[in-house]
Amino acid sequence: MSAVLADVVRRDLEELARRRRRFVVPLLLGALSAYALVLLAFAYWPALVRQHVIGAFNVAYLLAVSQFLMTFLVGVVYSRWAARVCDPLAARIRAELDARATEAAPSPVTDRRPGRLERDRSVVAQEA
Amino acid sequence: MIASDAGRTLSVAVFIALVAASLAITFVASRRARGASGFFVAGRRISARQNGLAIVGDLFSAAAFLGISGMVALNGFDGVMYSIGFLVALITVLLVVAEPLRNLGRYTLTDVMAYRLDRPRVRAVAAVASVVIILFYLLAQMVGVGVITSLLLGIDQTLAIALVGVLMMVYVTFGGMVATTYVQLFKALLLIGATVVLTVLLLGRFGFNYSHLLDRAAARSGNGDAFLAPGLKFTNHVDLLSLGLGLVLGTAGLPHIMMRFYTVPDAQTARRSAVWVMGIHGSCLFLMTLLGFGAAALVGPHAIEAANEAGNSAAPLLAQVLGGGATFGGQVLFALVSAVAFATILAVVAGLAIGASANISHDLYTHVLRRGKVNERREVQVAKVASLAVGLIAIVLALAAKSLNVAFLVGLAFAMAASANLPVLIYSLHWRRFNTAGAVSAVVVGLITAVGLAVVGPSVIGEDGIMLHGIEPLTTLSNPGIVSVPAGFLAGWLGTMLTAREARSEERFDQLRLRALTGHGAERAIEVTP
Repeated sequence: MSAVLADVVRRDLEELARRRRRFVVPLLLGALSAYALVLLAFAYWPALVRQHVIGAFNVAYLLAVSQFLMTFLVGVVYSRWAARVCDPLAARIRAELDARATEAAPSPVTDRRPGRLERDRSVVAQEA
Repeated sequence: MIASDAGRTLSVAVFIALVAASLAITFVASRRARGASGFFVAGRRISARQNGLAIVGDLFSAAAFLGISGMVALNGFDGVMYSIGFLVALITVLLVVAEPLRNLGRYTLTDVMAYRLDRPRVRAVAAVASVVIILFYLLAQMVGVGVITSLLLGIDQTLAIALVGVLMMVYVTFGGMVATTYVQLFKALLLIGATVVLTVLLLGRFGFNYSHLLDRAAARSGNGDAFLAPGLKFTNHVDLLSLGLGLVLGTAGLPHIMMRFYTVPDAQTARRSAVWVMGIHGSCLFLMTLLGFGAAALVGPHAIEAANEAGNSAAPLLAQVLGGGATFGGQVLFALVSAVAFATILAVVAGLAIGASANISHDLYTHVLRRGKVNERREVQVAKVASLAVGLIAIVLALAAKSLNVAFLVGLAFAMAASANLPVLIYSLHWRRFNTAGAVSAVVVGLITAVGLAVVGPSVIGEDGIMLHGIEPLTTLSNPGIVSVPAGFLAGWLGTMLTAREARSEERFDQLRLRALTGHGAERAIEVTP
């Protein structure tokens, strides 16, 4: 890690990365596995998915609906988790870095503008 | 052509009104699209809800609107499969790409890779891959335009394709991303409105008893219970899984969808717009399958197939029946739905064209050819010329390939995006050891495997294909995803492990992670309001 990042920032960043890994990876793999299982059921268990459950609705149809509900659920669960856990941590890291940048250089206006330091050197075109 | 003369005049009138409205939007927007950031990413000032709607606009191509309802109307439950794939794909978009992409990128996906890898090489390869993917997707839309307009509006196919191409160039060159976004919003709202109105009218016919509707659809389809279960269309199980894999991972790798995440102010807004997409797109996809079953029940497969073999006319025909058949009401609804279908395609091609023009101008011209020594004005000029070129190429290709199957082309574009773009994006974001050789091999192998397998598959050669009817296809898969996606990931891994470690890439990885996770140093929205 570059010298720009102090230990305290590095610790927060590792924490943020670890928390994301522990939450997002199982969520993603779980959802994709559920989808794969539904497709496998469609392909290899035709007798099962043809069973009627209520009225004209069979197992296949309910499985399809379950995928819609699953997607909505993942959307809500993830965005609430990210707003609660990730956003404050990310804001803290940004504040820490901004504070350090202000200490280092007496011109807060330029330094507060994120991106100046890391902006791709090859980019000449500036935003209006 | 399936409407009466009066209906056709009405359709054309609605269609002209719609084009006029979209041109007015472009004119207003053109005064707000200033500078490169204004042109490519609308100054990064789009709100979460607007961007969510615009992504829905990008995702609801002709294949989704007319294709899904048509496929359900003809093949029953197997048509629902596309809906599920398109929907679950949004989980990958939300969890994997939306936020890091917003934090890392400037205008294109290639920016993310260039952040840590050897810039000119990786930019050149990745930008070419993105342009190829967009061209396939664009081709699918343009071929669809020809089919649909001749069917619904009675306009000649060649004229329709040329018209869409020209309108697309006008939107993009004059209005940039601002105009494209507003055209998308306009179209998305029209589409949602039409879908909801048709659904309410349809369910009203069955006393709001959906089960009763499904029973009627099954009975009229001639397949009985089998119509409501999987297996009528997808008889090759591996091919079904392959299609599913391509759909579910492909959306997250589509260049023009990724670009939409640069149009919002920050990562939180990118996340919220992805959740909006889930809600709106999910609901529309669900209603689209319902309309498909409705078309099977009320129009019947014979009438749908007689109008168009692929079933593309199911939704407009259903609208006609729901409006009262040959009455004025029926013609009005038919005209409206046909016009919405046309607006859908127009908006999608505009989104695709601006994506390709960003790749050509920002990546290939500015960074590869001129090594970054280009001013903003020039970058936008080149992008405008590029979008004109892309429009012309799309018109020529579409006229040459009018007989290609639209669903096949769309499926292939998704598989290419999943195999070439997604592995590189995931490795760039999460693997410290990843290097330039790995990125180049993942893109090249993913892309070539996807296209290669499709070319030797049953959709291109053999009895059901478009050429070499005499010989057997070399593979039974029409969808290459199940082979090409793992191939892309494997090539990225092997390419990295077999070559030397890259000090700069590993050094920049921490910077990249800091920026991806916290947004520190990310590109900011333009603050000036015009």
